Amino acid sequence: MYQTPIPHILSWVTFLPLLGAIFLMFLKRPQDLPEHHGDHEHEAHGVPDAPSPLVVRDPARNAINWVALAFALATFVLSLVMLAAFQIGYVNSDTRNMQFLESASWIRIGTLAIDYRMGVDGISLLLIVLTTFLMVLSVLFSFGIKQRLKEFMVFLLLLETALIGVFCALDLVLFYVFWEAVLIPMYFLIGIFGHENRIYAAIKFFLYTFAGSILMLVAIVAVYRATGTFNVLALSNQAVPGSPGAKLYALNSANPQALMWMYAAFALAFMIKVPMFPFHTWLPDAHVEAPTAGSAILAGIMLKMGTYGFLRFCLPLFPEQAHETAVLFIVLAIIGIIYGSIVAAVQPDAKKLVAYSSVAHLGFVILGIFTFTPVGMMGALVQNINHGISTPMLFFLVGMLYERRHTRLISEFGGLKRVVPALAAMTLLATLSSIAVPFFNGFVGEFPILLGSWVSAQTKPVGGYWSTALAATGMILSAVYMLWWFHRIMLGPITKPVNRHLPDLDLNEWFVLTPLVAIIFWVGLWSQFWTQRMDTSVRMLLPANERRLEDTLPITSVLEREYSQSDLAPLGGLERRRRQAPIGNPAPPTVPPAAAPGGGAETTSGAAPSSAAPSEVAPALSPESRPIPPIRPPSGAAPGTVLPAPSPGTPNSPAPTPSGTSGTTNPTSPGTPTPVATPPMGGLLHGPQNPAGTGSPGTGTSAPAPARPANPNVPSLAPPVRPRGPRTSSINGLGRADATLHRTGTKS
Amino acid sequence: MNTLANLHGILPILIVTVTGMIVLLGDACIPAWRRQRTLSALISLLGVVAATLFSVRLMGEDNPVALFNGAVTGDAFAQASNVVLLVAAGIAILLAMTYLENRRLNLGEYYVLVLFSTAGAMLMAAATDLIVLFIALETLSVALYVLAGFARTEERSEEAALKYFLLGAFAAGFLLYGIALIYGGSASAVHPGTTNVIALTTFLRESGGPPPVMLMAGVSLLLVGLGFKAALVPFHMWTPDVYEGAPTSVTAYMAASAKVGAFAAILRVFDALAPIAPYWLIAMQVLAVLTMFGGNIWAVTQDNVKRMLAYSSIAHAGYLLVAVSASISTKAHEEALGAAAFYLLAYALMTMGAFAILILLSRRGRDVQTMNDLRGLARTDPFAAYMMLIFMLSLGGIPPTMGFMGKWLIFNAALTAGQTGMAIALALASIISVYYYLRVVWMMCFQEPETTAATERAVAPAGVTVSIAITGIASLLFGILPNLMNIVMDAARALP
Repeated sequence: MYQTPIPHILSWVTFLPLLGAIFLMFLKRPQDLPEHHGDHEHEAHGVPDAPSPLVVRDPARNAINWVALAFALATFVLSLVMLAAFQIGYVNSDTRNMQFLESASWIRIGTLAIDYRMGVDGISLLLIVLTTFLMVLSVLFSFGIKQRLKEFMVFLLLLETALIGVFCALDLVLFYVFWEAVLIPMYFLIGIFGHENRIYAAIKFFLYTFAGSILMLVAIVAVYRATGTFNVLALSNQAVPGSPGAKLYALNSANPQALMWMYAAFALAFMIKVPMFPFHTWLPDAHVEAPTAGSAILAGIMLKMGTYGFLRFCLPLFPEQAHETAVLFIVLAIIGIIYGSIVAAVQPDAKKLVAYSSVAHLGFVILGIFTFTPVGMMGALVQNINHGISTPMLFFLVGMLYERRHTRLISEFGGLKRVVPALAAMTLLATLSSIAVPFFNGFVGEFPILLGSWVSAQTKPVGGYWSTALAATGMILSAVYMLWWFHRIMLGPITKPVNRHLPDLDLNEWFVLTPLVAIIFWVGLWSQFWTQRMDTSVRMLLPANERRLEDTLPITSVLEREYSQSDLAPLGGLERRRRQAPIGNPAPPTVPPAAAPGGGAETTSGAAPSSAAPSEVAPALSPESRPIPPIRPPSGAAPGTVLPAPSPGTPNSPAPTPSGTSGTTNPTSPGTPTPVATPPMGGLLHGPQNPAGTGSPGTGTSAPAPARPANPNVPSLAPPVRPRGPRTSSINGLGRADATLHRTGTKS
Repeated sequence: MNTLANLHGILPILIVTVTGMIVLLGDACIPAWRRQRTLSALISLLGVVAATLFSVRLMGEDNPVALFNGAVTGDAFAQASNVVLLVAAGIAILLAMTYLENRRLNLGEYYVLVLFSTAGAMLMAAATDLIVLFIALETLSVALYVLAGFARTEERSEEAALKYFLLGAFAAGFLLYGIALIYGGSASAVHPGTTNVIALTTFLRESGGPPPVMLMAGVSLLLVGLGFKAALVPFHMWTPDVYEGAPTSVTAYMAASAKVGAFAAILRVFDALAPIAPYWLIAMQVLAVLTMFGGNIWAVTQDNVKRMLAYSSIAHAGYLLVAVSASISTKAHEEALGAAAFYLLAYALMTMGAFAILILLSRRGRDVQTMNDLRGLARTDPFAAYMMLIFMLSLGGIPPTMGFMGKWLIFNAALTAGQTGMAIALALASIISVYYYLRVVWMMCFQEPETTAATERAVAPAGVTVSIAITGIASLLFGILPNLMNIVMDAARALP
């Protein structure tokens, strides 16, 4: 059981900024300072504006600044208290892995029951901490806002409340209220404090996101009509018979079309927010026009609302639909990665470049989520946080340049390294982090995503390895545009005389940048701190049979053991599943070697999603992923009728067979080619980030299958925390064999 | 049933009417000295508050359904409508106190007319006989015609009144003819015709089969007549002109009370016609979609704030029609009625609040008209600007405001009734609406004021500020805690 350090801590964290905003409203309005109007004659004299906001001596300004900072800091500290009290691996059958739960009756109208229901799991907790952290930096950075400072701080704090609320609301209506409430302060931040085209950008931002979310509201009501509750947790627990979640799941057979529409409405709202490729056009405008702090929050946190929405709502509530549409999302994500990178490369505007790089990075996150592999999903989550660190940092840096020069055009800079060495060094760090260089945080996120995509590509008709290959070009392209960007701004000769006298970082800016750098390396070198908190959530997001599928790949399991904390005993992740597999497959799991022709990978990659018949895919899969048995019993039955699920009676008791079983479950035909890159890659990823050395035996082993000894740290008699079996058995009961098959990827 | 019990059931209407008479007589008897207008306003407010209290009390009582031989009813639904109407009347009185003086229109008749038209609207909500409905509608309308032309010296106001009157008279003809046809259509060999809605329901239930053509013709004319009052597309032509021309406090009142009265009547009458719903529901849904999209699309093109709000009020009528069409379904009947009542209250509060801001900003002798007049308001008058923000967000249906909650309840009702298409149409229409509401916000908050000097403001408008505060706080509070309005919603649900 988790301990709540302070009663109602979640409400405090959420509403403390609101209190701050209300408090600020009663403070005296400070005198506006003259705004710089960007006239070039002024700059021609080589007298840049002094970017030292702390110098300004106006008691009203200082009061506003410090009160806002105090509230932001207090919220940050509270969120850290929460982080410290967070129990890793805590799971409860009713409330899943949510902690610090709060619930109260909120709205009772007729038969409608809407509750104030809050709670966090690892995913949302880290996002909340990220929010409060970035908000402190944003307030700090914005000390120098010259006009309408009070309103700025009020809107910033209001935004913080709404953002935190989004991440902890566990009632669909409450979530929607926060979700929409985010728009209002952001609209103002862009519209009042933005640059030239701010009104266009603000209205575009608002309308785009509003259009997506209003349809989500209809879907929320539709979910309620189908199930009678707005409780996200009850809806997510789809395995419990008779629960609202089971009712929702039952629609898969009763009215799949309606369910697909609901899913589509949710997904559309999140796609726009992320933003994914065809809906991304609001993003560059909003990012470029927003003030620096606004851009940082927008990129750092608001985009995460979209990915968070997928994880919290789309996947648990509509698992079948999410799997059915995975291909679409993967394709769009890859388009986003490549398109975003290419467009970013040609931007003359430094801020716009960073904005488009967001499209690419978020493409990676979506790709990772829709691989439906633990490794890919964990990578997506880490990347989610990475992007929330490195992109705001880039925005802060561009903002600092803007404050010095009042231009964002890359061509206006050049050779700044000699003038502002500290700023240049910070920019380099942020650039490398964004490129995903090893040791930096980006790598820890993007590499597992590619790995996960590679894993899932073998079982899903996503164009085989091409999807991974295409996505991987995104990493190269990011190096192209980011390094080129850095080169044009910081290196080379100083082309503009005005640039010779720019001041270097001041104290305030050091305060903003240093924590970000610290976190970049923290994630890059010790990602376990982050992954172990999210591990339980990731496991809960993956349906049982899907996980078994991924487990069959040696490279993943090695990596996955790194990710999955070995002291995550209650879940018993890897071991438990491995033991479950033989139960589900009565026949001895030996792969017919005949089903392994040479060019299997190519066959899959070339096959169009719709054209590939199930029977064709299965053999095509086998050469690379030889341990097919968990997916397909080799009995040679017609693919359409085979159910990979364990027999309905057993799933809850995962029969603690001796751990040696795992060896027999995955018989490796010796001739099977193993991915050559395994050991070095694994080493790269794990060497630095795993100081504790747990599970490191996997790193050095190159022989895949036998190198997976039973993890001695995992107790074999793990309590079945989440009854995965009933879910599958309920599918059996409904006779929806095709759905199950679809999900496992055997079909299509 | 004795007379006393009959009168008890319509006590709120009586109070309002009698207050109106007192104010009228007082205004005539007391010689003109300066304070009398304030006195008239205070007496009127007193009457409104008293009537509200009685309405709330009557909600809880088990009222006999049929009063005056089934001509009117004092049921909970009528009382719920009364509360909404009386709130609108109270705000209209508060708004007028300084505004009229400012425009040199401060005549006692204003309050009298407001009270009489409120009584008419309340009677509309209570009428269970179509003839009484017609009388009530005319009581409401005639007072409103006069109010629209209240700025006697202004051409625009006169034009508005005339236009409203002519078109209104035309629509009243439709309504009356419709009633006559219904009377004829509901006659059969055994029964004489009826205009009583309860008897009508019984007749329709018993007869079964397709209704007589004459009856259906009557129903469609009835819909036209009431649709005119509620400003449904395509019977909305008068709305923008009248809203623009009438003095702003009248516009605020008209926007709220005419719509609430009309929708109360629509809900009651078409609820009674539920047995033949398949024959008219599609027409109503088409009207709803036309109204939502028409109102919103026209509103986008407006540069005049009052006209914009007029088109927005048309769009809101469309949203309400979604609730009406959902209320026909037996599953969603109660939910839809509750949603409609909540939305009517929300609509009254937020629309009147928005108009109140315009009144607050009106300078001596000149109303706020165009969007440009709102430029940079956040710099010159942050209170007005941010209150206006609340109203705009509420009108746009963005949480955490009352407008959002109302829209949400209508979504719920529509989906419960299985009318998914209507819910989606409502969603799409509100996307359009957000654009023009936000345009007001960006004018106020994102633009710099035209002149930096503080603009000359009319006299310190205490009444206006109070009503802005009331509507603003209510729009937020009931958006966050809609439970507080359960009493009204529960009452509205009681409609059989």
